[in-house]
Amino acid sequence: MNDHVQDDRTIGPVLALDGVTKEFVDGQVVSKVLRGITLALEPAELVALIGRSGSGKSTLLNIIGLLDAPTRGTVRIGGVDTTHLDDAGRTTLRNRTLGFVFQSHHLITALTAEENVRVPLAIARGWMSEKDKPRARALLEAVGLGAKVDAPIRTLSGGEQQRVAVARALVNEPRLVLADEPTGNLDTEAADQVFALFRRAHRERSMTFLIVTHDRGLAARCDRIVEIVDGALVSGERTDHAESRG
Amino acid sequence: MAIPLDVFLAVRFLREGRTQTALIIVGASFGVGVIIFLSALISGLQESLVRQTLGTQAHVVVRVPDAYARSLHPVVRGEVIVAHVERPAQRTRSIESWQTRVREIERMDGVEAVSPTVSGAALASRGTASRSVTLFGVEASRFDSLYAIERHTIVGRFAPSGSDAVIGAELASDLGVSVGDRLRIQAYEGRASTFRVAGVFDLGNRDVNRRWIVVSMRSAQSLLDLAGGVSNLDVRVHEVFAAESTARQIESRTGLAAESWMETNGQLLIALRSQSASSQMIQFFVVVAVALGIASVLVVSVVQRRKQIGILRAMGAKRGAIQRVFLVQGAIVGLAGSAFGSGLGAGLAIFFGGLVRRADGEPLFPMELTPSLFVYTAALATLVGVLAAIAPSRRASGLDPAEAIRGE
Repeated sequence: MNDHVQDDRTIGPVLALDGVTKEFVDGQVVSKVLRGITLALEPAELVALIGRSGSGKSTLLNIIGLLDAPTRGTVRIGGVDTTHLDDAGRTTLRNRTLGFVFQSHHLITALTAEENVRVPLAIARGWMSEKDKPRARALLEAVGLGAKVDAPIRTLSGGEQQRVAVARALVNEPRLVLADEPTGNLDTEAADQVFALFRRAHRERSMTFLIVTHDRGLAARCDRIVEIVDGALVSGERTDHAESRG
Repeated sequence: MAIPLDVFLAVRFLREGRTQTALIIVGASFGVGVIIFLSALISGLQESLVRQTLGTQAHVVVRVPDAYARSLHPVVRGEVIVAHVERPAQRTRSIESWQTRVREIERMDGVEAVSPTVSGAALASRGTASRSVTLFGVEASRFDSLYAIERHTIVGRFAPSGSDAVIGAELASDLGVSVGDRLRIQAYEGRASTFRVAGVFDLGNRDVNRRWIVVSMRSAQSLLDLAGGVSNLDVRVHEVFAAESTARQIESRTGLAAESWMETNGQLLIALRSQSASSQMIQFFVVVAVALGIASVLVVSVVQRRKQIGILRAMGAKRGAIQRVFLVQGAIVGLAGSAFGSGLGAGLAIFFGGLVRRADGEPLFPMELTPSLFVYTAALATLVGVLAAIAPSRRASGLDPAEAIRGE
């Protein structure tokens, strides 16, 4: 199974969706949430996914994050066709290739900030190792939490917790980071800090980001904006920011 | 230092839910404590009962099989014979080649000691006082390895040789004799002889103290008209409850009749088994209660950590890893419960064991606390913890990560 999920950064787009459709069936009623979405994210892109509530953003993110399967269409991550992967294969691919940041950060409250950041590495090898401490601490330093590495999660503010979640998403250097409203619960200053982190990781580590947001201002700072309306992609324009980068 | 992730998370989850964890460990500790206390009490009572009963009984008695009447009329197929065959009177007979049989039985697995004995009914008298007694002709050291008479000799010493006899304390009192006095022993077959009292013993059993007279084997053989022979081989085994299987083994190997204490004390055995069954039933219900307690706390923990489990799954934690986090929690609670519960159970057992004593100084509630009881209980509690965690762990590992994260 692991042979199918080899991480090869040299092959094609990081993410390629082809005709992805998602339907939910409730008795006789079929709800079409996603309608044939085709999308490719190239390496080192920072893309915003915008749309109204209920437009299908979260469903699409779940499918890209291999937390849900499409009704039709294919999802390729790092060149791997995920259609026929079983649960274990999807789980392994998630751990090796994807990073997640959620609006409600979902940190493990029983652990400290630094331990939370180490969890993805521990999942990969099955052991919580002291060897990973310097790496986790460096990331927390980078997100401005160097003084709070040993702080229990409950003692951190919302902004601090979100920054821990960002550090956790970046620790195993995933090729693709999926962020669902990462600044939704933050004030402007904290939101700016989080976005700056994304931009830095994107620039320094060539990571690809797909950021779901309602915030048009935040979206405008990404390389590309993809808009979803009623389950279908309606635009995918590049921003001025992308041009300036190029 | 590296710790398995499932163990690390299990410990942290338990530590975070301190109150819940403490309560369930207290519950498990009480369960383990009750099991240890109850087991120690029942084992102690049974051990005391068995010791008292078997203190004056051989575990297995080997004798010549009973004589029976054989029909001289040939059996013809299809022929029906109405007959009344009388059972012949059983006289005391000697075991053939008994020295060889002794060695053979001694070599058998589980046999601790064998004592060849000549025994029969007799009348002991001194002056006008006479009492019906059981006469034992023995090899002193072998007989003592079964009944520890030397240790229970209260006056004189245990030295049944020549014309010296050792008698029970009640009999000595009834006949008014003490060490150095003489008494006359007459076998029912008519032979009689005079013996000097060399010692008086108290085996803690009034009937035995009233009836037993122990003399040398040669003297008893002469009195009971069994020259050179022995009437039975008394056997002591290492494990008293294995006596029955040892008896069957002796029968099949020697062709002699072997009767275990379990056959001769059928009612006692039934009582012991009923007691054990009652104890096991109580332990079963305690185990069920502890298991339900652990399971309910872990189910609550799964519900409370739904989103965290979802994110662990999203980050790549496999179902098995999530399952192990909760199984390890169950095991830890079981282990902690067994550690505290062992202390509690042992404390209760020691307290009640020393609380009330009988007239002879022995505890009224004899307790048997053995290392194996603690090992068994710790293993049981840990196993129960793991088993109780199966349902919550399956529930946790079966969570759909997307739904769990959304909080549906």
